Amino acid sequence: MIHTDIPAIRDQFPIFAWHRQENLPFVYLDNAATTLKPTPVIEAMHDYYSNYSSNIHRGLYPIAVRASKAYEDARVKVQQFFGAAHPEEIVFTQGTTAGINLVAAAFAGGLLQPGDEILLSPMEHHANLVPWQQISAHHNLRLRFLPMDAAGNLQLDQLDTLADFPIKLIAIVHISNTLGHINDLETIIAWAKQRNIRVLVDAAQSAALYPMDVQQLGMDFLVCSGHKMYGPTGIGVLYGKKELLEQMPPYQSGGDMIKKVGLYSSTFADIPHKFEAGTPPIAAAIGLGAALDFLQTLNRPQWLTHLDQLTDYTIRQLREIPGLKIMGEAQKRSHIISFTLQDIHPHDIATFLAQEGIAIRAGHHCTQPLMQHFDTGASARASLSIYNTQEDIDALIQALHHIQSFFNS
Amino acid sequence: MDDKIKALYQKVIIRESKSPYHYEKPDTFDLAIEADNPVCGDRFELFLSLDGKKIDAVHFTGYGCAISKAATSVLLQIIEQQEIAVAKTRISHFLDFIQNPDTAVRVEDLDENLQAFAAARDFPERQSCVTLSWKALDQSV
Repeated sequence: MIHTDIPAIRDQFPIFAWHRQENLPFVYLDNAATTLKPTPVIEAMHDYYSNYSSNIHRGLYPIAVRASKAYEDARVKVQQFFGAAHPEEIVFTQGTTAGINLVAAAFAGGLLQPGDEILLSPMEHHANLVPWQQISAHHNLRLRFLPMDAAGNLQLDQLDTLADFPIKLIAIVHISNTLGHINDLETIIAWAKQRNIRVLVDAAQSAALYPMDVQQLGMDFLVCSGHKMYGPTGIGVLYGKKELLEQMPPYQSGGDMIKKVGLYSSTFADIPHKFEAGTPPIAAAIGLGAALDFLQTLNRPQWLTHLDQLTDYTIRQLREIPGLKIMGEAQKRSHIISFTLQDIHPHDIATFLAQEGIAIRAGHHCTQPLMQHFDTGASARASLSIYNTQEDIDALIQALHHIQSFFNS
Repeated sequence: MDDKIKALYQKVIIRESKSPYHYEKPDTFDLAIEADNPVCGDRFELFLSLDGKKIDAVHFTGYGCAISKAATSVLLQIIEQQEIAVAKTRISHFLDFIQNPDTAVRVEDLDENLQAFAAARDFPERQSCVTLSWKALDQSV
């Protein structure tokens, strides 16, 4: 079933060598929380901090010029990675959450009118829910939710029942961070376009490996996080269509985002700088650029096929465990699997697995309304990435059997 | 399976989490206390019946891991039929034992049921499970 050179990939992630050296077991199945970092990313950041650490824009000495170029080169890499028409459509943020907060404040808060509606789904991460609740409360907007069936699939055949509401924005997750379900963006965006509704896609879980051409798909905004794309923490991306970003008022204000400042009023820089107040995370942006270079070296469709097969294997093995329930039945699924095991609490499962060197996540995964939909408080979540092997899955399954017999004894 | 983890989940915790003490909402009570950990989603409700300065009975319901459920179950047994002041002292003793690395409280000073939680000191990430209901009660009474 293995098509791809996993040992060669693992060699690029120094964390595996460290665990080997320390003689510690290490099975990393928490990729939906954050992915591991390959050497080129670490080296790019190390290079910046070691050799040309300086602030960007306006510095006239050589290392400042180099830093500015590296930062703006990273923006172009992001533009090319997502197929955006212009580099200025790429705004560097702190991460997905920061990107959504920016769009909530500047688009919904700045351009929508009282009574306008925002359409979400019940499977959103709190990051794509709470900012909309907050902005709605302040600006008299209204939230509406797509219907979802018992298996956790959005009922897009019912979209037309929403046609008469004054919906101005759909903010939707591409891949559920809890269920792993892949939502049908094409259908949602096509429906929205016919009605002149804007669409924001939360691509936190999909941006790394799933092809995402923003012009072809036609979304208005896309947000993602560098650290879920083999890049560093503290950096994220907001893609926004040029004409929208230009219309939107600034979000945070201060240095770097201005054109001219007087004592009582100011004018603002052009996009994207209008939305990048203060010194940005320069090293992290450069690290993200290196992560995208790394991703470009992968044959992503081939890796996706491999991961689909490994996920199928995982699900088959999990289903062999008596009393284990996988959350949701996806029409189309990614490499994230949530499950419960009898009445053994997910935190207890995760603690036992941690002792065996197996990293998973347990809890509500920042999706409390989704947990309520499934009438549970928490789940255990295994999420796979390119460096995972069948041996990793076998270790997980074996440990789950041990846990079950311990709790049942 | 290593010894540390077995120690953490020794018989007391498994037993108390599987058949927790007074695990129901009583018909009448004087005080309801919420013990809520938003980070992990554990949430219990504790129901106290008071008799003057004495805690007459405590019940609880809710959702949580084996450790938080067992710790709540044992808490109830420790404070029932105690003067509030005595209960508060016992709670602060136990919290100090779990949370304070330099604690003067020794394992043998604790009730047998509480000694089971000593292993949580080796699992800092699980200490909040042990202390969830204890802290909530300490703050509310």
